Amino acid sequence: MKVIEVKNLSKDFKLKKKYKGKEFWKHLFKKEKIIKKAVNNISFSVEEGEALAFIGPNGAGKSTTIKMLTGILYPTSGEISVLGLNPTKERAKLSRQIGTVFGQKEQLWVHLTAMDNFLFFGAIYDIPKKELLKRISELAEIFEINEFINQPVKSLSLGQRMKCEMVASLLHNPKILFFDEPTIGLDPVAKETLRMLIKKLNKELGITILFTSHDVGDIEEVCKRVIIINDGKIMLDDNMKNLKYHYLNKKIVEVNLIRDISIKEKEGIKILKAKNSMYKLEVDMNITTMEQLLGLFKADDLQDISISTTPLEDVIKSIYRRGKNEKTE
Amino acid sequence: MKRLNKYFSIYKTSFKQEKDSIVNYFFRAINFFIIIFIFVQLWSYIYGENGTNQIINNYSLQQMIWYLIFSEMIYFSARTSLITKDISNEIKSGNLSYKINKPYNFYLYEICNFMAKSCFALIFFIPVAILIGFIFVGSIPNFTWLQILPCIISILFSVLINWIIYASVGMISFWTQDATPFGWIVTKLFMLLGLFFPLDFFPTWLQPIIFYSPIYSIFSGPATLVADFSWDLFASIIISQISWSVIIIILGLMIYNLGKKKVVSNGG
Repeated sequence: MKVIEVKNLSKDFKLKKKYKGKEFWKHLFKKEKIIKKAVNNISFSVEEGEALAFIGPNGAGKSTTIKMLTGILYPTSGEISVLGLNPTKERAKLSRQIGTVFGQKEQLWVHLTAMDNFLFFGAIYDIPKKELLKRISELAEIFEINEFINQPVKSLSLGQRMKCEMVASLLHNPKILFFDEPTIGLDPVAKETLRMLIKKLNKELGITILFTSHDVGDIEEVCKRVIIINDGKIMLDDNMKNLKYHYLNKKIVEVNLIRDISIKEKEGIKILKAKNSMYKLEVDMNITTMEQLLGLFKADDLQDISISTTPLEDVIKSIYRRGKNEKTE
Repeated sequence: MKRLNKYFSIYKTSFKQEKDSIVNYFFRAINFFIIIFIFVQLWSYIYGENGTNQIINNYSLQQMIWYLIFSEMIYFSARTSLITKDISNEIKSGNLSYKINKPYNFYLYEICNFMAKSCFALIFFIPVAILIGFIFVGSIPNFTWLQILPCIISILFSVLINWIIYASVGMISFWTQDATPFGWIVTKLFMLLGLFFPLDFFPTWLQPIIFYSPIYSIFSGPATLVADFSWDLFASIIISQISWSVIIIILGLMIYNLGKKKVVSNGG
């Protein structure tokens, strides 16, 4: 069952044109506006229970899309259906069925304890007190926050705060959770813990997850499907397996030879670096076989060899770049 | 009932959070004391050496100082200087967008949030105001305990009306870069036409304009009620306050509903 359906969604922001230098006086008389297309005619859908990553560089339009899906921003054009509801027109109704965690925007009252905050959010979502206390205790157990649940939020570390933010967004049992860069600013340990928890929410509780992040590690661990967005357009919509299969087919081979032997570039083999008898090669495994690669030199000449896969981060960067190049063309 | 519970919870939470800034209140009380001290000196000079027997525009010195103390107290408790700036900043920064995706009416949320802060401020400032008044000019003339409740009701209405006006001004930020200059204009008008002087101090042609304006409901009315109480005056003020509350709540809601479509929130 599709829980999110987006058709031809666009969002324009009107910006005032800035006049510089001698044209400064034009500010007084002209009110020219520039239209910035933050999201440009995108369409996609999300199945129930799916974990989808929405990634892209700064200003790509990923947060704007999430904000439109949650009813925070009004789209300029296009259609959105989240759990069968129109977020623009039925925001209050939708808010009872979704949860949001914004890594850069805290929703908790910082002077109050985490517990006071949970009681507050429980009242906002009209959860009966008994049921609410039970839910808090369950979530406190899962998120391991019992130790600091009665401490003021302002005294918690960023990782602890994020855990509390997540508990607050889960109190009303949402069907979909929207995460907008939840791991931003966290140390590697806190990041890992949070990723595990998000994964658990998706796998064990069956909550649909829509996730934006700059951190490729988040996506690799948490999500099965990825949408790459750049300049407001979808560059790629694929599952993680396919992404790895199609885009991670390039291997980086570093060889250190005993003698100074010249290696020449071939179709599928690109020399990235060459220094004396050391070579760094990029090998496209769709074109070249390992046998062909090893045929470039004799086994006796080989002192050392290491083979690694292109990091996912680089793959994503190349997809961003591809989008940019297409635009300039 | 469930709905009311939700808004009561917002009120309770905001009140709890406000308690944490009690130290700030002591500094504000010092500021309040200094302002009143200056006005006491000023009005004592105006009333002259026989100040206690002198009546200017139906006000004795004692009544004048009590008027000032309570009008200033309303100004302090209503957090007047912050409302427009806060709302304007919320809109400009896009913070507003994060608050509107919850199952409550944002406008009512903000009213509960603000009223909690103001009620906390009133609980703090009313005793401070009474103490300062006693120190400078003694007790309120002809004051009886029966007057306390009507005066408090009127003061609560005044801070509510004050908030809605300033919040509505703040919402101009949906359309302009910054709403604070508009807030300054309103503040100056309020100060000149209500905060510093009772209605009787103005020219006859101006008095009905002030009387039918929200300035009377916010400052002149409740402060006069404290300084020179009568049940007739209470009835006229409360009618004016209820009428203004209804009018500006509707107006504020209209501005909010028009403006919320213009919410711009930065992406990541």
